Amino acid sequence: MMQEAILRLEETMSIDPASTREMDDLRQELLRYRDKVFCLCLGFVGNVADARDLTQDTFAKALAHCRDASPESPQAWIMRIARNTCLDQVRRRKARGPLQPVPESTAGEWQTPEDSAAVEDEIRIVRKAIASLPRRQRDVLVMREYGELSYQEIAGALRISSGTVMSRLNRARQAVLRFYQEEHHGKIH
Amino acid sequence: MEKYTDPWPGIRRLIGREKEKALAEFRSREFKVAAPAIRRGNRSFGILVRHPAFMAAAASLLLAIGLALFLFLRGSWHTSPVAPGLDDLLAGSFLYGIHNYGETGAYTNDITIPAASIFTALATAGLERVIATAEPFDHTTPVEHGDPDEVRERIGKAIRENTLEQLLIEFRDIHDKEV
Repeated sequence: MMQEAILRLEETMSIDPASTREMDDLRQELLRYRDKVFCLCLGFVGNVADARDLTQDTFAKALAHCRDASPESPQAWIMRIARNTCLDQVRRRKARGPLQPVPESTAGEWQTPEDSAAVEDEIRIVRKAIASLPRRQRDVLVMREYGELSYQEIAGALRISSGTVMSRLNRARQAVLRFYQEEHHGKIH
Repeated sequence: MEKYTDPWPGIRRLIGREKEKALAEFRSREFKVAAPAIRRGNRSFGILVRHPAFMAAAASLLLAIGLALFLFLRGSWHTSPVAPGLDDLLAGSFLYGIHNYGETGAYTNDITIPAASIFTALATAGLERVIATAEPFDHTTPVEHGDPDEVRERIGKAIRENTLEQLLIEFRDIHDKEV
């Protein structure tokens, strides 16, 4: 499937098939972060359909520019592209009007029927809490919890120090917990 | 004393569940990369067109083109016709002419009514022209006692010599000078 995606991309974007082996390796490596990029986009936009579109946009940008960019850390590079793509999308949405409600399909159908409604509700509260964070704190939290990046990788992607990453992450977590407890009026399962 | 438990793992577990389900849905469909490149191009152009800076630049460009076109056609600002003043426009109006009518109820000597000055000049010039072109005759002679053939002949002569037309031309020249 990955090979097919690369071939299709090369056909559509007129990338020379006889490009260097390093470029091919870089593309292969970038496509390995597909799931991580998707999760990061999910963390920023909150629904599967938009996250999928943004993942595609991110890879289209990255694969089109990887020839010129030659990044030192491909993961940090593509994560930065994904984050910027998501922020653009969020900004456009704000300009258009209020956010659309999350489609039902993204929250339902949990493994066990008995906890589906409760879990769904809790996830919505967490989502609202993350959405209410200041942009810098949200960047760090989403990269850590959704993108599963290390402190150093987040620091590289956002071009800030690891200490700043840790302090922002701590403040973001405290804010999310406070919001969750206020909304939920109870303990976390 | 209660033992402190970090509540964050609970939140992380919720996030993990959300990711797990979303990833399952994401992986269930084929991943295509190519299409957004074209779509993005169109969208960015639309955003560019709607951008206030772009619209301001376009308006400025249109204004500059309009000014350049005007200068090209008219030569310069100084050759453009000057709008007529109020006096010129209302020179023929009697009411406007008497706006200096005093509270005493009588015209003062230095009042100059534009309409009067023009028509006085016209009339004077016309009379002079008629006097100059017409043959001398006795003004005291009443017409009813004059020779009808002679009157007819004089009128015919005036028509033949286009005296009226020349008078009108004269009037127009004087009027232009006045303006």
